[in-house]
Amino acid sequence: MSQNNLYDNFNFSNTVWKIKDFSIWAIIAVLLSGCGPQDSVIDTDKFISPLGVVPAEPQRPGDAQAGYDALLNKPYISCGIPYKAYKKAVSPTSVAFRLPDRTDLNAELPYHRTYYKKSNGVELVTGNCLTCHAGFFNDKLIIGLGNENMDFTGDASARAETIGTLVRGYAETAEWQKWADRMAAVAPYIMTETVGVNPAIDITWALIAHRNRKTLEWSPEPMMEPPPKYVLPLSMPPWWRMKKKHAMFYTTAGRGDHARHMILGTVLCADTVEEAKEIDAYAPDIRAYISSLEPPIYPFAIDKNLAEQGRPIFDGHCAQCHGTYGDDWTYPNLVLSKDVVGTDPALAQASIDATDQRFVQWVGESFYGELSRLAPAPGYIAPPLDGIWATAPYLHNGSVPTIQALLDSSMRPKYWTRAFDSSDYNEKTLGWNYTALNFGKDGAEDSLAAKKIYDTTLYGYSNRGHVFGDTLTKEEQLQVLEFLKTL
Amino acid sequence: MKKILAILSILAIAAVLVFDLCCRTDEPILKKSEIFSLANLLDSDSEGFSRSDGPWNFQFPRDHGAHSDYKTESWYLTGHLINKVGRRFGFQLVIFRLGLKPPGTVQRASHWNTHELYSGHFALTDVASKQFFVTERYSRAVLDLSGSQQTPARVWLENWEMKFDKSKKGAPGFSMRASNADIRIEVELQSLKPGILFGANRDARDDGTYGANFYSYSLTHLRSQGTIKFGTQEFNGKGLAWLDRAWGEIPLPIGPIVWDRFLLHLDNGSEFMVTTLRRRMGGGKPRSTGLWFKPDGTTQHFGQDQMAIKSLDEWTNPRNNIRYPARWLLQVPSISLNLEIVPSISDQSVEKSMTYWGGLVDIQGKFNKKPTKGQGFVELTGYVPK
Repeated sequence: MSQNNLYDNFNFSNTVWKIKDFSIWAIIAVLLSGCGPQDSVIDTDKFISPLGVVPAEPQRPGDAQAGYDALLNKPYISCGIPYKAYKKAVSPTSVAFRLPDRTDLNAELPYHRTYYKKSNGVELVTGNCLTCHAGFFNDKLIIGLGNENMDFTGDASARAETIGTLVRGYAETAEWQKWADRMAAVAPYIMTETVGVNPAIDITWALIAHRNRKTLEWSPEPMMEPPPKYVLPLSMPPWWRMKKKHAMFYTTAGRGDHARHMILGTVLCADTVEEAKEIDAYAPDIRAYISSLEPPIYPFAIDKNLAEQGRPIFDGHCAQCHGTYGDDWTYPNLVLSKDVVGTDPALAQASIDATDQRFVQWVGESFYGELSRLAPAPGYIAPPLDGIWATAPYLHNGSVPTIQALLDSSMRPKYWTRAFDSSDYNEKTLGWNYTALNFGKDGAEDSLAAKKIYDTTLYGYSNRGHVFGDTLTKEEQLQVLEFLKTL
Repeated sequence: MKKILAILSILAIAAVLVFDLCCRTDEPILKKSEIFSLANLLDSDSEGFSRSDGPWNFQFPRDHGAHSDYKTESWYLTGHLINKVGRRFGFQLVIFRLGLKPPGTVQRASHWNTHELYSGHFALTDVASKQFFVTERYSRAVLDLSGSQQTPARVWLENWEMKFDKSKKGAPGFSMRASNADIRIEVELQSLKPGILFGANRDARDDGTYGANFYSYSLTHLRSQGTIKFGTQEFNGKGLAWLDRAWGEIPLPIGPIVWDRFLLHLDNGSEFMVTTLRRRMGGGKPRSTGLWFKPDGTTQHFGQDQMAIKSLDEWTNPRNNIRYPARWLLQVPSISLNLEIVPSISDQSVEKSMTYWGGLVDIQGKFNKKPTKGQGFVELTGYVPK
């Protein structure tokens, strides 16, 4: 994509917009862009949250154990690959990718796949939440750790179409076609510039564009303008933060009932409100499980003296936004202006622009918005830092490979690449071993190497901001880094 | 599924038995049947057979021979010969190996007992007379009726064979022979380019499974020299051929997909392999991918967005009313490739256990601003009567 196109699509500007200005701009933009039949003028005040402390809101109670079972076994993603075709397409799952406490056919599938026998008798293999929300650290699978190794740089529908060569019979063909149609619908809108970042928001928006907001019926043609084709990259945050957070997502867009937000992924396959309701019935259990998750324990040695020296520095410089840790932990749930935190503004900007707000409005007017509401703030939440050492690369776009570079902005590489190997971890820098490059994707050996290069000069991929660690001395940075291992 | 496989296996064995007892001619004995379906046999459950669960350490000549731990396997040879006065022939010899029983299965004590079947077809296109001849065979892998051996690597189906015993200085060389009641062909082939291997460096995908469940290699530039006998007539010719080998879960064109494959030899020493997939019922986004085998032996891949292949004409098979595309334009702008691909004769429809169009094509066009021409083989599968 040329820079011109990119700027056209994203209203990129250094101007600091005020919320009121945005409301006017958003309305004008929507009017100018020619709304689809379902669009109406957007009341952005309704769908934008203020900066500052995010208030707690009531959550539906759930059974964490039942939620774990539902997470791994229930068909909340109800379309997928016919089981027989799946078996022909792949080899048996290696032990490292199986979860020992799964049963029946699920025990033979990778952790992120679920077996589902439909009422019409067709057997499917579907995706589940762990596709993005489980990851390997030091070769060990951790449920809830964001998967930072996924590759969305290619055409996601290519494989779905190719699997058609292995599908047989009318019933299975119909099921495959349903799934492949959805993949084809989203594929043009979810291609990232680099391996490791996630287009989750754009996947959701691209699917929503095909659905009737009242009935959830799927339309083969988009019912409103799909999202821009240039994807703003996301790092997958770990699930265990939900224990402390009052709102979901980086911009705190996920207000109200979290369980209802969590099933928004069902827009891939759920074609009726009834089906969405069935899934929603056990969603509070899944939420309870996610909120019960504890971060993993740092698996390497910790210099306890150094870490203890880091604690007061952390409390003095970081805790105001990120909270305090220990038995009497505190967490302020503070969403800061994108200009204050200074990190790449594109995501926060887009979430309150008309481009995103029409999807936000769709959610608000659908079943998914009945208990919950999407209402991003024009900024970013300062997340809880439990298990932060496991969640590299850092910032909401995954642009900084290590904590060392996060604490010292002069060390952040402009272009960098990594092995995408969960055992290639650096205990000194608290992040992935990486190779800093003096060239971007154009200088790569081949296209495979190019897509593994993180280019922080790309729109949305900047490693700017959060320079608060720069005020610390080198020694203090080391002390804080050691302290973070204890979280 | 096992039950069906067992029934099909018995039917297959019975059919072959009838064939073996009554006669041994070059005519196909097994006529097309709803019960005996090669496609269904190839497509049946592979429980108990090996699966491609890691990178394959390709070794030749070993890998020219059979891999009986894997359920299905194919030797797919296509090419053309031109004689001194310009008379042109296209030839195909396709042999499938089909594992009926997984390795380790207790064998019945009988000379007729077999754990695998071989099937295949031989086709010849005579451009001058506009004729296309196809013969199909099945045989069990016992009593030397069909089979494969390692030293020298050889696969045979009665008196059809590919024998990999002509390798020179590491470059694969082999011979093929095939015949039917009226036609006999013998060709010697020498590979002038390194083969391309699929599955040698296969990495584990992030889900712990693998992208494709078969291994394969292709020899794309086989210099061919051979003799074709038509009754009392004999033609000697030279040309180029292409060998595709695969074993494992070989994808079969019997799903809801229309699948076109182009194997193109250009006279400047380049080959192109182009594949297009699309849903038979419409919808989705048609997929196409291309691979350029350069004269120096290196390859370059072209994705969906870098190439276009358009059908310009159609031909309807009068026997089954299936409508096939019949002329194409292939364009790869980044290398200034513009090729028109035309069937050498319209009717090259294979109507045996599997029905598809597979035959010789002529190529003309421009490559990097220079005129170019060539010959190739096109395979159109998944088409049904309109």
